[in-house]
Amino acid sequence: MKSTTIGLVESVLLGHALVATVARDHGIRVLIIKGPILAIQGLRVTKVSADVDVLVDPAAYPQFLEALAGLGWHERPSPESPPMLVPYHSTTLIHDLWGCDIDAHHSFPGIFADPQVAFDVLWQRRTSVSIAAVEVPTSDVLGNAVIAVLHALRDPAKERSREDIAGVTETLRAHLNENLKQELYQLAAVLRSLTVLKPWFDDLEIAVPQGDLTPQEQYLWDLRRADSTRAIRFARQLRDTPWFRRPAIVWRTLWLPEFQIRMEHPETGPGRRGLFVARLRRWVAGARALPRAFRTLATADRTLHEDD
Amino acid sequence: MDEAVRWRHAKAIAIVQVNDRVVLLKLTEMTSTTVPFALEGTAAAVWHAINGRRSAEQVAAFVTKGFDGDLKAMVHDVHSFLLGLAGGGLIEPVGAGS
Repeated sequence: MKSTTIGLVESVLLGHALVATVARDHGIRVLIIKGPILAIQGLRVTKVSADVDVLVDPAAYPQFLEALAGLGWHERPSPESPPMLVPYHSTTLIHDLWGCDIDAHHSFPGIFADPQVAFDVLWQRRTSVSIAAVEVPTSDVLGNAVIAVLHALRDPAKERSREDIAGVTETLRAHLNENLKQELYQLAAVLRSLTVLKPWFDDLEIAVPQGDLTPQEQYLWDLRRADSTRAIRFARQLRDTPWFRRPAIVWRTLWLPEFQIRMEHPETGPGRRGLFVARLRRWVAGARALPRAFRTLATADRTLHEDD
Repeated sequence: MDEAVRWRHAKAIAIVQVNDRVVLLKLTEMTSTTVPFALEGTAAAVWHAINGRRSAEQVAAFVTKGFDGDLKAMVHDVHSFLLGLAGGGLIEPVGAGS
């Protein structure tokens, strides 16, 4: 009789129980989002998740991080890189003895309402599901559907995003009547996500007569969407740097130190060969993403200036 | 502890079952070294046999049902294992904390 190592699926499911318990014990309101919750609520098929996503009451966010820090969870060190163009919405926590991350959100990309207002709205819709034999708090199906689609719309061309949106759409369509459409619209309106969700609402035949983002917010959303590829950061840094300093930036980006490559790409194989393959993949991915990144940057800038 | 003691699962335990594995996490008195604990094979079978009504001997008998072997030695092993689980706060003797 012996104990054995813990797999990712097991870590993630138990991580949900851990997060829910820590929050409850400290009297902190949290909503577990994405991941296995979506499958339990019938919004997508079961997929392997790499982390626990939790939306935390913004007012209690520091206390939540502190509570987890007391249990050995600490912020994932990030490699030195150009600053993010858009505000951070979450903190990724890791533990030296656990095989999964906890992604603690204080806000959610695509929701432009005040984070406290947004959390309270989703909290009012809360329910719970059983994960690892523990009741974990989450939003209702509609709230989680909106969050899942907002997440997917950050990179709608990605296959996984298309599958996620299709899964949510299929589930909702089965019950979609005028009342539900109205409820969905109202929820998106109070979250200030109408503009972002418009492509999905078009598909559901929910009219969005008027956008709800300022030019600055639209700009941030465009950057957020592109930022997920890292390429936009590089593109913007290049654009904003005097020409004579650009070769140094290009060189540093192409030849990231080994520790940085392995930190950003944990899947990198061992030894020099693994490092070489990781570098090669990075260059190919970057070369493919850069043209789009420059186009996105130009479009976002143009949009902002047209509205000035 | 007496081998006649009956055992039950502790209350605040998160449990994941994947195939024939049982992975447990104690949710009370957590510290920075609190991590999941996996049981496989006979260990998982012992976990499933614990129901609040069985003693170490009965658990051993249940798990080894249909198998030839030294029940006395098995009872001893099971008892040691149960004490280990109890030490980790994963099970408790019936009557404790109720």
